[in-house]
Amino acid sequence: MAEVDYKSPIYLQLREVVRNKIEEGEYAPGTAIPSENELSELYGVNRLTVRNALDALVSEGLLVRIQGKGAFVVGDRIERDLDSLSGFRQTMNDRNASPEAKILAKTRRKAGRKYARIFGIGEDDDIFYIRRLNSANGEPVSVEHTYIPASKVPKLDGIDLGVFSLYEVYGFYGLNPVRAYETLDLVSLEARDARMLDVEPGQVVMLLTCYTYDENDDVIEYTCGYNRVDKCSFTVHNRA
Amino acid sequence: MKRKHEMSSRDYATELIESYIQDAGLKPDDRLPSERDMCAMWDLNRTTLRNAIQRLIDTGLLYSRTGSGTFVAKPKFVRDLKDVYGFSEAVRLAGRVPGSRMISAELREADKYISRHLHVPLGTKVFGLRRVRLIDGIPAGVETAYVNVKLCPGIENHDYEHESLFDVLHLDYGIKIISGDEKLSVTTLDSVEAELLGKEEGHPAIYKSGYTVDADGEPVDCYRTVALSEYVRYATEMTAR
Repeated sequence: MAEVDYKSPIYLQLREVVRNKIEEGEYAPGTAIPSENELSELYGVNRLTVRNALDALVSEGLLVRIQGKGAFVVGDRIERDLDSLSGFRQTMNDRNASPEAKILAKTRRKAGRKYARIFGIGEDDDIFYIRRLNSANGEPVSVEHTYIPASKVPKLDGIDLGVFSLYEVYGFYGLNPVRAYETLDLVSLEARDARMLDVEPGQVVMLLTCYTYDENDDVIEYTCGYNRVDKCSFTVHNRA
Repeated sequence: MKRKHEMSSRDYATELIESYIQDAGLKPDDRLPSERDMCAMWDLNRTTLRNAIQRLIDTGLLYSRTGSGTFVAKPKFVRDLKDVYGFSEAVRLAGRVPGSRMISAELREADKYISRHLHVPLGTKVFGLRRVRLIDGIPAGVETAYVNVKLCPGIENHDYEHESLFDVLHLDYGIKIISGDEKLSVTTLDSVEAELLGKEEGHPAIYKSGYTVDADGEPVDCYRTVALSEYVRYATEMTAR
């Protein structure tokens, strides 16, 4: 690639500006960069030029454009196969169900005693709390509550989990989930949770609790998922 | 901890109780403070506290005894689905006492379900074994297993109230189980199961079905277990290779 200087076409110069900001981490993996309008205004160039500049970065895979949301920085993707390995695997009762996930909440909070203990951090350290509703064919199947120490993914505030999965985000931030421990219990739902899953209060659901560990054996994620028993079951494949 | 409105008050109360048990060093069968005291201690309303207690009873951390309060439960027996032990051995290794109560043990003909899972023609003789499984003397589940007798003739000539099917297969027949698939879902107890387990008919339970395969790829047995989530927690671990 030829050196870009002030005589180079403006779109090439802008492309290198954005590339630098991505490399320097000013535009963090998983987050949206400023809109084309904002960039156009900031650098005094027209929108078409901005679009040209970003096109190359999109085709290089540094950015991903999401209709109606903007351009997001893609971090280094690390191949991980934890997802594909045996553990409890959710099986939809309806095999033709088309799944969708919706983030209901994503907030930052203090760990408090319980999560300080789980993550081995201080009670006043921050954690992220994410609540996600998984549906199939428009009907709720499960609600997942996920807790992540903020120190592990400091930029999670600005990351759109509708664009990247948590596993992708972990890859961007060099987190390597190598082990997960899952347990299954039956619990009954109180009114609020029942409403979210569109079942009667008191209905029994399967509670799947998952601790995910990185290579230092730190817990990097704790998830409780409440699964409707009429919509799915779990399978485990064992090989000695 | 600052109370956050994003978090349900039930979850908040649940965290407080869990932490209290650890901080106060409460042991199994120790009693929690009264509802009134806990509400005052943490500025909670009764409904929230009761919801939190119910959740912790469901997950097996607490139990309540009418009239005398809420107590810390003995931890559930964690059945690791990835381990290589039979039920009895796994219970023993967890420092608990395994037991079995015989319901039936007999040679029978394979029905469609058995035929499909054991890969034997309909009507083939198989060994059917049905037992109530006990942990520390408490009925925790009803297990029905069908064994491919072709691999282990004479398997029926053992006392499975005191012997482990897994051990007999391994020690007497040299059968080593190397893989299997299991499926877990939820069921409600029928009248027979309810009576065997001392619960109400319709009580929810975990329904686990599956089969095992030996080193030659032959199905060894298929089984259906109805387990009470109050006493048994299923667990599995995944690792990146």
